Amino acid sequence: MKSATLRIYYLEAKFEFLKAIRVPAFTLPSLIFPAMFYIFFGLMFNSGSHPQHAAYLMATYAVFGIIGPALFSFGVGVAIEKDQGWLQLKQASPMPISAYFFARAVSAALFGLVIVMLLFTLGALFGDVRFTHAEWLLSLLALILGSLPFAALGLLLGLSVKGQAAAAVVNLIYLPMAFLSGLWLPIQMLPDFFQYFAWIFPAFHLAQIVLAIQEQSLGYPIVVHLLSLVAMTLLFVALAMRAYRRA
Amino acid sequence: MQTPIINVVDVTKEYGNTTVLSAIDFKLNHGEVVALLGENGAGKTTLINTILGLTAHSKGAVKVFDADAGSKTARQRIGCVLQDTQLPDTLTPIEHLTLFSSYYPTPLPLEVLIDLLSLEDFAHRRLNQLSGGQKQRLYLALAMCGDPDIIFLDEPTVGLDIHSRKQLWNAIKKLQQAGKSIILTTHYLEEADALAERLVYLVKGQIQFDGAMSEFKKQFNAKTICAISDLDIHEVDAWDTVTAVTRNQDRVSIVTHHVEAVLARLFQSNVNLSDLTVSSQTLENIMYQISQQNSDVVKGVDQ
Repeated sequence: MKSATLRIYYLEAKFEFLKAIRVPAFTLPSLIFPAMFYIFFGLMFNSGSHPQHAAYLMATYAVFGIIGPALFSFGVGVAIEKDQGWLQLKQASPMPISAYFFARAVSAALFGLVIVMLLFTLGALFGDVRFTHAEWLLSLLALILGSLPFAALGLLLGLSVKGQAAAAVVNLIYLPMAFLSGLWLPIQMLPDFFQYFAWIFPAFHLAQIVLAIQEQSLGYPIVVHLLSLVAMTLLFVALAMRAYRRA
Repeated sequence: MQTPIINVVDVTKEYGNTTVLSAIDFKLNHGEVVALLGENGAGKTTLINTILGLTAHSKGAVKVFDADAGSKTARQRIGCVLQDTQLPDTLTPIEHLTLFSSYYPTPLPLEVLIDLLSLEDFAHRRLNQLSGGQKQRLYLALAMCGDPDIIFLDEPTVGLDIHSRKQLWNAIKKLQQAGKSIILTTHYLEEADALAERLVYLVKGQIQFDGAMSEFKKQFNAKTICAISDLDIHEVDAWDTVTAVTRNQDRVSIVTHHVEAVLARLFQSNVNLSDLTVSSQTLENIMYQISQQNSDVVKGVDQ
């Protein structure tokens, strides 16, 4: 890739990130919520007596945390900028529109990274979570890459929904999906039916992958979850592309 | 004959059953400033979006510098201010311009842009602190930053106060002097008159008029003679120099293309005239006339 094109990607990502951190009233809560939930349900409720439990919920709240920025940056951010005509102005300019989406993905991943590191720190310090280096790294990697399906889902929503309705629609998907995928309470604690129903949610599959790293998944082969995520991502991207052409 | 830099040939655009643009032929030559006028829903924005490649057309061809509309070549040579655009509020003009400039192969230096559009006072302020006029100048700077050959301005001064509007006009005139080709849509006829030498008038997705502004005015150049008089309007109406006569109580209005001849005949005929005025048609009136004519035509078809 030519350096002029790289510069577009770099600047696009830089300003996307600046845009987000300059609205602390919106950004800070989204960074703190997952950690706060984890402190309540993973650490205080559990009072450190079961490190396994603390590790389990650290993983699922990290999944919860990583989904937020991806879903909101794409779902709400794109919807608003589409309505404001900003996206259209970019489409009329010679920029590669992929740079715009790349920038949002990077910005969401950076916020996701902060959330995950916060949770890992809490888990290690107060939840007595003991992982090998490989397990920490692999968990982190799975989580960061795992934000992509949600970026794709967010993009689909953002291109399909009006800016004013976007936040409500995103929450309506985000919160029930988080609960039904076993991100707040271990999935085993939900009735049997929900354990099968959860298969339709990408959050369930990502959680199972991250839990498999610490050998606390339901025990299905990782490949099954991985393929499910890839298939869902492709579906979201295909639908988003269709919506993009219409937008 | 020079080759047009924009060539729209027989373009039709349909949304479902509605025809938004119908068999549009339009050419833009280098250095021209064209005002695109028409009522809401006449298809101005659709035509612009089609040339920008943002909207697909149902039929016909659109070329920009011999490249397809919306292709990278076309996009590199066009700058635009679109209707009702809002930029992200938390960045500053300098940041927006830095980003947008990176999209183009030969961008104008930032200092030049800032100077050209007088942005220096607020270049480092976040957008949520800028006035409407300041934002509009930034949008124009964004349209300019790639040093494009063609600039599209879709209602660039809508909602601005008269001072900001004049400022923006000056900026647009500077671009014109720099040899840029400009297409602007506007609701303000005064604006079209002040900036453009060529006028394209769209009615219900069709081009009703395409020609020089002066030609447009001449074509619809009837003047109105107004006076208090007891003359017989049926008699005057029969004169072949008179287009129409109406009476409103003791006041008579005579519409004509031959003011001098009619006045001479009036004076000769010894009718009493007082409070006599002669006024030109405003562009606004002309527009109204055209749309009236047009709706008559439509009614005729219906019957």
